[in-house]
Amino acid sequence: MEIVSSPEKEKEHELTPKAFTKLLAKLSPDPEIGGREYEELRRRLIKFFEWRGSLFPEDLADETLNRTARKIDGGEEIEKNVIALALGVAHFVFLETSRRPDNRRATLEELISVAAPPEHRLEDDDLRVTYLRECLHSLPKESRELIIEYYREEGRAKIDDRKALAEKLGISLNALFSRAKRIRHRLEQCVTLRLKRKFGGSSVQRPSARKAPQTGGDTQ
Amino acid sequence: MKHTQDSEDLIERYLLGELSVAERTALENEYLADKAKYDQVCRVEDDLLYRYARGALSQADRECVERQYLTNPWRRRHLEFAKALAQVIDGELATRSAAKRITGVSWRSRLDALPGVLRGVLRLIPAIAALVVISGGTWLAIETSRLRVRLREAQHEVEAQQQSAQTQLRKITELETQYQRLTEEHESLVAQLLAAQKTGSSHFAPVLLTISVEEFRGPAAQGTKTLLIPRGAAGAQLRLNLTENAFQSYRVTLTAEDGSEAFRKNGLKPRADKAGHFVILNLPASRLTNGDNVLSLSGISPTGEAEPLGKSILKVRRQ
Repeated sequence: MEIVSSPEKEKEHELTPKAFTKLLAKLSPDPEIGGREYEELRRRLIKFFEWRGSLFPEDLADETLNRTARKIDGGEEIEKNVIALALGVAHFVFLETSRRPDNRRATLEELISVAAPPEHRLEDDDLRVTYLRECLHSLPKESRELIIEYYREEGRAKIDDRKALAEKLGISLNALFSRAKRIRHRLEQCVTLRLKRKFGGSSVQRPSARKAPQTGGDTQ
Repeated sequence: MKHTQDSEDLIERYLLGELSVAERTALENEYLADKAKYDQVCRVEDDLLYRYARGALSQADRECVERQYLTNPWRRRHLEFAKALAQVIDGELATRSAAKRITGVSWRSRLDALPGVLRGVLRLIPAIAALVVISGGTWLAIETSRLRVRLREAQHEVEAQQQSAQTQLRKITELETQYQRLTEEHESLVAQLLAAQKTGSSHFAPVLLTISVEEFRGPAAQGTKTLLIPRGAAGAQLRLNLTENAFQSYRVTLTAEDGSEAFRKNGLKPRADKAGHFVILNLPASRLTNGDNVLSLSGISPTGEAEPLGKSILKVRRQ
């Protein structure tokens, strides 16, 4: 069994506004669309690092984008597109961080003397359910019904039900999934916020994400 | 469909850390470049965690999920949320299902759940209700008809009573008119009577009977005269005609039917008119009794001796 130790954030090369603007421009000539594309790429990179088992996927995603922007700002040739460039950088970042000493995994025996953080696991579970129920009922009725219908069945019935639900709403299955994902994300945020209020952030084991520098365009 | 299933199986193996480096890199390149692929990976992960939360995974897959997700705080967060979501949604669905069972059970199925006797009784309710409605309707029609007849009768009675009342009113009016008239007559008669009584107390009534001396000289039975005394009369005045005037004065005696002397009058002076000599006798009504009275006439001589001249029967009738 492996336990994780916290790394130092990489601060050697900060992202400049000029480099960031060039990255957005490569994603789309329209700054607004470029901003949305940037956020979409960041989400995928976060999931990439998460599925790779990274402990701090947001930090690695931001590092990947920073390095990509600096490459573009430094005049590096883009063979295919920005996404392909970012993908190559992401592989490199992951390999690099996984080899660093401060990012290594230690055995339980090595960390046996380290004081354990406050454990609220069982209480968290009950509270999470309670808060989630409250958050579910605080949703608009349409969203609440959608998420309940979306998760109501398993197996073959689930597929059929989702198709029927998508037809009923007049949308595709992918659009249905996107809506369910957004609602689920809202619920997660709602529950996380309530848990934070309850425990002062001790039960939320998530590092703060590094924000991209603001430019003249809307990057949200 | 087969391709999709294979694709989803591949993604699931990726998420569980079972792909080779080449397979993993190919998939990563695909979903980073293709949003639809990325969404598919997210959907497969979402389903995988939800199935884990509901205990729908095999033991081997379950262990793989735990190895990949529980050892990573970031990924464990998704698993915990999936477990909470499954619990909350299952609870919601259970609540709704229970509510649906309560509200959605048909009356017939509820009826079937009752005990046999009660069920039998309840099954008769529609028939009983129909019978009650029919009986009630019939009763209502009969009762309405009966009440209408009674109403007509009552109306007739009222009309008859009104006519009777009008008739009685007319009679009362007539009687009042008659009473008024009689009262007036009575008052008039009383006034006449009072006037008569006033007159009668100082004067005798006018002459009612005239008797000739010849009648006194004949048999008493031949001289029967009837003297009618009206109600309220104070007395009667008799004119006694004299065939010859041989005396200076005369005396008259009235004897009642029982033989007692009822009246005597002396010193009656003779008078004369075209018809001859006569005397006037005033008889008080109080001295006259019903029945045959004997009236005796005598002449008084200058020496004061009385010479009987005759008797006449006077039949008195008081009104």
